[in-house]
Amino acid sequence: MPRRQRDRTLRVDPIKCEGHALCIEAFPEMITRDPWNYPVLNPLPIPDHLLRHAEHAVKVCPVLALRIVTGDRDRDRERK
Amino acid sequence: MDSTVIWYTGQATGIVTLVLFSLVMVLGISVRRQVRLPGLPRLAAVALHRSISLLAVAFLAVHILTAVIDSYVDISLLAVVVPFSSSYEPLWIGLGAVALDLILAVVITSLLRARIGRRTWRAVHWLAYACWPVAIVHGITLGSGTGHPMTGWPLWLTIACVAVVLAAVAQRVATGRRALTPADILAAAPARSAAAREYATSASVGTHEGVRR
Repeated sequence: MPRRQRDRTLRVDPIKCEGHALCIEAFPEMITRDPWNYPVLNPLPIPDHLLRHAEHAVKVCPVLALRIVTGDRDRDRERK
Repeated sequence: MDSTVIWYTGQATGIVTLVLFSLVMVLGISVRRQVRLPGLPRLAAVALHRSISLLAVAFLAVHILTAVIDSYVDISLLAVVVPFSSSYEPLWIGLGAVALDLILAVVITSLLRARIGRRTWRAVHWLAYACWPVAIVHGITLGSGTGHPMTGWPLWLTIACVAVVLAAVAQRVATGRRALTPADILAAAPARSAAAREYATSASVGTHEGVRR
């Protein structure tokens, strides 16, 4: 599936993440649990009707490790 | 407005604020990684911690407003925020002002948490542990509303709040500060480690069946 400019995807900072797993409780539609209680993110764009839940998951992270990135530009900037 | 109404409102909102902030303390102390309060999902505990603290601030605002409006004793707006500047009971009103300043610091940094970063937020958030005892002393010393220390059921309510918060602190200290690392989990639970091995060897890592577009 081609990525569109406005697509929003979930991104976790693996250094910050401590496995509190609150995002998994908040947004099980796209975040699942690995055996160590850490999140596994669905890499696909967040469907519009689930965006509210995604934003909630970002808010409940106690260590600010989860965020929503928009489009390809973010992706490219991170790689540098 | 009738002075008696103002007085009762001030007393009542003070007591409600005490109970709400004690609840906020217990939720904040108890909820952490891999631990939760019985019968309460951690997500709900975090949500309650946040929303109850904002509710408590609303009650606190009414509590402070009535104290300023009440003309029976003279408490200026300045005395509300500047500790120990009150002409009436400077020490005990001053403790209330200290508690208010600390609460404002904690609440404002929490609202700006995403901007100021986790480290700064956490450092300021520890002030809650200083704020709550100060507020308790303010309540006990002025809680009768007559200039005398608190008596009767409000005192017992305060003691109950203190006991519950201390119990939460004791429970947290007793169960240790260090959260489990993945290695601990593997070592401690054979069933879980079997699941982990299965996970590591499975081909389905990183795929999601749930959401497709």
